[in-house]
Amino acid sequence: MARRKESKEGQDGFTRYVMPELDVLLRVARSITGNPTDADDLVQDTLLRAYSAIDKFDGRYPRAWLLTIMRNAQINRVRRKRPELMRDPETTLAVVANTDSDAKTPESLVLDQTFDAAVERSLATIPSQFREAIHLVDIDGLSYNEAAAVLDVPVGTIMSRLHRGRKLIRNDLTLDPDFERASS
Amino acid sequence: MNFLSRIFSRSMSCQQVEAVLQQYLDEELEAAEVPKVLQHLEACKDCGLEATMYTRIKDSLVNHQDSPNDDSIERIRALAEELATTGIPEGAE
Repeated sequence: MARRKESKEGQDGFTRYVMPELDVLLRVARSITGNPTDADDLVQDTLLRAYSAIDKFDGRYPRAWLLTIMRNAQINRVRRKRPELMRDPETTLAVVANTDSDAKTPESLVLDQTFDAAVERSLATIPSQFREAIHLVDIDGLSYNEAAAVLDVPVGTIMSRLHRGRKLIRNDLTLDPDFERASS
Repeated sequence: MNFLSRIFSRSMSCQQVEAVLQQYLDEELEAAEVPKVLQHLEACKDCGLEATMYTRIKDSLVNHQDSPNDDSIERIRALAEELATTGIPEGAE
């Protein structure tokens, strides 16, 4: 099969900048697609795009660069499935997040009476834009800058969403009978 | 300015701590601000409890991390290695 190969520098760059980020890419892809199959496809798409663009990459902040590529790839994927969302990337990401929520909210996930379960239950009920920020920072371990790159919003927006989302969870827990049990 | 005034002028109020608490817990706060937050959290019971609560929530979320399975990791790693060594198949983009 014919193959298109980047320059030697490009291939070295791909090994140096992309290979160490594969685990992070998979985790973030799981967060924004909501299922493992779509996540694998999204990471594959991201790698192909990154490979094609590696010669133009300046080597600074490779994770943020890759996450931006992933975000754009995901928007394109959603647009292909939902053409009515063509004009509004924010809505596109919100739809993605809501799909994720639909996949993860069954009560069966949180039957056991523990603090962790109460947190998870609360996380599933908060607005999707807060949940998305919390997922990227707390669960996927991204920095504020990296999460901002994924969602294409200012860092201040990430901070605000985290603050408000965690406060909702915190307030929710104080009303949750499981919290009383877990903290006693 | 006496000793106590100097101490209090450097310390933060509950409101100021609340405003930066999430950044502090995420290790995103400017290094110069960290000792001031720490000092307040040690001295103020309410803010200390609040910080403990948020730390527990963060720890709990980390525990719920749904790690990619080994098959996914292997498949993606194989693709990345293939790209790095032999390039991109025509028509794969």
